[in-house]
Amino acid sequence: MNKININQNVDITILNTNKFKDILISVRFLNNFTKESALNRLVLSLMLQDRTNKYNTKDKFVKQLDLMYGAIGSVKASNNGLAHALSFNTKVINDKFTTTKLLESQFELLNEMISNPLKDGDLLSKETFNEAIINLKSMISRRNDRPSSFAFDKVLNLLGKDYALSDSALPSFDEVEKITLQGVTNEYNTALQTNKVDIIIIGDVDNDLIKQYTKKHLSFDSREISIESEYAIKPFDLVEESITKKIDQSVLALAFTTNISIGSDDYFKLRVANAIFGQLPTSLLFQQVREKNSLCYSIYSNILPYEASMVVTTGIEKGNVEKAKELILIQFESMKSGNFSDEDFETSKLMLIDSINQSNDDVISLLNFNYQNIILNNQRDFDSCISTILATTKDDVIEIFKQINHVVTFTLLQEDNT
Amino acid sequence: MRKIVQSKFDEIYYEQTLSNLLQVVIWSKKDFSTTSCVFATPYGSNDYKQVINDGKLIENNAGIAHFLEHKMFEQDDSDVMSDFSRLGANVNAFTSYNETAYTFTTAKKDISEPLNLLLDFVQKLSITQESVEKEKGIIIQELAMYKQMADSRLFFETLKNLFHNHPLKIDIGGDSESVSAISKEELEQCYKINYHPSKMTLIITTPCDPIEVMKIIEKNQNAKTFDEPILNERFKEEESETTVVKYASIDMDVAINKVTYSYKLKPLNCDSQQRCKSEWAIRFILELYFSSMNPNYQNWLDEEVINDYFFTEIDLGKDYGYIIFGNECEKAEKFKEFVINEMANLLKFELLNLESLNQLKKRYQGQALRTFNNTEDISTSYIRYKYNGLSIFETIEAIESLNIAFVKDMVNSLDLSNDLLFEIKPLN
Repeated sequence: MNKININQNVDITILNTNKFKDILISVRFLNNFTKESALNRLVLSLMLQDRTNKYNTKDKFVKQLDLMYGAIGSVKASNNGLAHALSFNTKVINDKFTTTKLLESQFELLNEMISNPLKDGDLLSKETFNEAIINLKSMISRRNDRPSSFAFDKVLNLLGKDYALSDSALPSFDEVEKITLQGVTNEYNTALQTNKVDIIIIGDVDNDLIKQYTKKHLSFDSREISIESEYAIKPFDLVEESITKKIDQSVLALAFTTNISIGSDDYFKLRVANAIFGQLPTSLLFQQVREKNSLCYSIYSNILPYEASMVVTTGIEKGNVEKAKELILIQFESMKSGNFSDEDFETSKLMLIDSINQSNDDVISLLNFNYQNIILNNQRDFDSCISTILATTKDDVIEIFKQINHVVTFTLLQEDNT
Repeated sequence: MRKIVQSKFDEIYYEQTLSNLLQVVIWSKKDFSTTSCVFATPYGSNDYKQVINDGKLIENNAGIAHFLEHKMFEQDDSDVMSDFSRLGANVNAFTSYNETAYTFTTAKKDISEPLNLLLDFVQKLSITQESVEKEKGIIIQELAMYKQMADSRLFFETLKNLFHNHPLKIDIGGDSESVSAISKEELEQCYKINYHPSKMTLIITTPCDPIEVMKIIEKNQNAKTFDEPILNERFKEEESETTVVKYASIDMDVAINKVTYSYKLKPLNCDSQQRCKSEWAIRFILELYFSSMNPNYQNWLDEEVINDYFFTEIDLGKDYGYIIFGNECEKAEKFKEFVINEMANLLKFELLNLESLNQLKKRYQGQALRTFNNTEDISTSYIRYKYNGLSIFETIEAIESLNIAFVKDMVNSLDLSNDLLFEIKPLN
């Protein structure tokens, strides 16, 4: 990996590899999270992804992508705890498989997407803003239509009610109405002028050429910014809530505080513990709730890495909700008392290590892992993660689970006779 | 082993048919750490009725292929998923309309254990009456999960109303009634007919030495004996050219109507290559007229005739064909009118020219190349393309060979008289 500092808080990270047929370039603007800023950036991500000043219609933009052998250009807004990233991502086929040189065109395309958006005077384009608002409302409706997503958002809301987490889900329709073009334009200008900028490149590239093209097409001045990302949601008295809908399957979601966030030295011990509890087919949840009692098709325990929390979700028959809840909590107690086998413990470590090794072959996993390091300002590599996993003991797992608290139960119930 | 070098794509793979007629492909990816293996049979949900060699019709409960996929993971007293986990490998499986596939991925340098385990568990069925009954609860919950996903429901309900008898009208997993009726004997019979090595394909995309990998497979297979294969073919249902109804709807807990307007097409009477080429010709013209390639697309969005959910889908199978347009809108009839009008515009071919055709060719060339970025994508795509009748490279060739005259001829030959309007309406 090559890291090149261009200006203060403007860096290039290059991962040279010849595994992939294309070259990924991601330009990321990192800022501290506020609800208003995150909403504006979400709208920005929808406005900037299919038109620019030069390619000012969708058909012109898509034509440019197609001429670059079906290049992929996208913009994404994402929360990382207390930090928020606005990412411009492109993937373009490596020159060696094409008849035309595309690397510089990829930089030009990124420059167009980032620095030359469609504008009406000093403001960003009203037309793209209006379309983004319509699309955002559709996204919210669709997410609410999916019972599993609805339940997941609801449990996050209850879990993070006094924290940034409760503001990180998609907004309400009322909140969307309050978003203005002026606010979004201001956010755009702020992002380009003050956010931490990282240009991450993965592929078979000539580093000197990358430096040259970056200087020519993606030039950003120095900026002062300090970013925080991880935090721990503190335990609180159990909150239980349920909502009834006309659906075919009830959804049960339980949230826990873990007290261990992603930057902690204990994070990979928590990963081992979570794998035993509910991540793998060998896990207690999968074996007890699905395999032994046939109550569900899928059941998972997911870590919220930046918020030091964990959520268990499953879909079940309404009549089995209480039984499933009881079984989940029994497994939770089993973890605290070390009531899991040595074999399950060793298997979980093995599977986690294998999954980390497989990440080396996946461009998105490589991108996310490296950006995570940038956000956390640490130097973790895959080997150090694996070393921590190998060194984790059964006692570590028990101690970690003793710190975990069950704080929310949310149930999305089937209405009777549906 | 036959070595195949695709120098244009910088890819190498090896093919061999074993003495038991199992087809083996080893795709060499020396720079990768991950091995991805797929062991598949061309037995999918569409095969729940089959005719075997003596002309006997075997009529099973719908969802049998998917049920069998679930039960393969049980071996005497052991649990296959846990066995793979203990080896540090991820196992999975999927059932589609046309195939059932068992997969594993691992970054282990020595793949002999997971590879042998895959071959062994797929080549032995070991189920009990009790375990079959227990699985029904899990599968019924899986079906309930998909049933409440509006997008997959929209697709399944559209097919259900397009086809009178074709098995596409039935969900891949069947329904709670058919699943409840499946018996141990039925599963055993299906297994016997459809899992013979002569019918199956094994593909391993791996950084390991292909010769060593082949040795592991040969050793495993040489130690086993198999009954004589039972010849079989899918029972061909009589299918009318018309749709079941012209309009249908269901109610769901959704915020806005989800609508499809579809054309049921006559099956093409041609070989796989021609069928593949024809499908891509239609896909190209649909992209040209019903995506952001069309300058009018922006007006449709601005006027809210369509929204960002809008999609088109074309599928030309061996014995069926359809085009589906999907959208979210309050007035389904207005959407139907829009599609009909734009199809009339499409038939004027004003947007079809050498430039637009080449633009689309470049797009899909890039897309095809990206398949080779990931070992799992290579293995899965290989199987998908193979069971569709053409390899991925033959498909790329078919796309490259498209010309304006062929696209026009293909589109002009479509009979668009059998249509269906379907919608999911929000609950009152």
